[in-house]
Amino acid sequence: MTVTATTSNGAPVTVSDNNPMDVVRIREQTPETLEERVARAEAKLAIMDLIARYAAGDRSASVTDDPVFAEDVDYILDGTIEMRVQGLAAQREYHAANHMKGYVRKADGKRAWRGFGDTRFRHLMSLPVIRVAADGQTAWVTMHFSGIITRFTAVHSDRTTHEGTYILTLRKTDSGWKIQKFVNLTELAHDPLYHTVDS
Amino acid sequence: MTVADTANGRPISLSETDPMDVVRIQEKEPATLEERVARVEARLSIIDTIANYATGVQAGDPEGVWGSFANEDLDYILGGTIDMRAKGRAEVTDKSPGKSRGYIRVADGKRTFRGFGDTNFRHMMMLPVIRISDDVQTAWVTMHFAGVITRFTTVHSDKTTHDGTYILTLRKYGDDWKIQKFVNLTELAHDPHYYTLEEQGA
Repeated sequence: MTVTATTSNGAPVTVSDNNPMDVVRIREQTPETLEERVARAEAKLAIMDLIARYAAGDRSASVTDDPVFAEDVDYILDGTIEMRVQGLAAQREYHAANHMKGYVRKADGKRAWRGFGDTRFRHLMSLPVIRVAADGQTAWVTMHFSGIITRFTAVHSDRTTHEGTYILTLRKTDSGWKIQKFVNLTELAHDPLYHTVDS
Repeated sequence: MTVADTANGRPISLSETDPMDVVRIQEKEPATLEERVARVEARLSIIDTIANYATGVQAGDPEGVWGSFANEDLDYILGGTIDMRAKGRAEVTDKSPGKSRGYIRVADGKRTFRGFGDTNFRHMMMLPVIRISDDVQTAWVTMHFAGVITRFTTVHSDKTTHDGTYILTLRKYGDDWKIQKFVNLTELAHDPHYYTLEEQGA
């Protein structure tokens, strides 16, 4: 599925759910005035801040008092997982109730996952590619991440890592930038700490 | 221990354990184009200060590292798997990981670590949350990092990684932003390259 959003540099923007290069190829409109240049710089810094806030939450920033997702977020996990939730309420319910259980691994069908348990989860966000629409109200982002999962013992840590790539669509709201479409091409389901209990 | 300042008219108190203290700070809305540009510049300068620190660590360049710190004003705190606190450059240097001594692993008491040795240490700094005070003279930052330690042999590399989270207070000294309070919630003491020589069979 693809989403066609507002224009950037006069051209319609279509970002797929599976190709990060769709974001890279977007050409921004060159700002003409000092005010527009400052606004563009502020938008990019604010979007980086949003992503960093999302990563600062130990589980999901959707459970903090400053949600990074829009009310109508289209939340998609792909890659080793196939899952789609529509709306912030459903996304929150999914994370709170399931803690990453109930995933579908594409390769071998449905499984029940044991979830985070007593682990710590750090999201390490790489530098993003950010493209801002001509009207400054929509932006597209792609970036890689590492998800570090640590289970502590008395003297050492069991630590695993998985990676993934985001393809995000953000919209500017009265309360700042929010993620309206969240595509995570994740390798989470292949992380050893996320194998099923019986595996 | 807390650091007090104001953002949007409210006093700011940061713990040494909760990164969300930084995330929750609300900045004042800049009123003029000049103020907006000053905040953009501050953010870019703060990112530069942190990147300089990371590059200095990898290069093994003490002056490069210390160029990002407020030297004698520095409060340097390692938490997480390590329990260490030092004030000012001399004490921090004496207790630093590179000196390979003085660490306390929280879980099981004092140990002497072999330290960096002939390894290469790369600090991978992630996207930061930056909050700037009303007078644009103080800033608070939280961010995750990965520390990648590589020990080379003639034919391959032994590579380990640990991670952690910073809670930083930066202050402006002249035109430069410097880290005045450095809290590192680190998992360094659980990195296999930092086990004791005895544990590694040396």
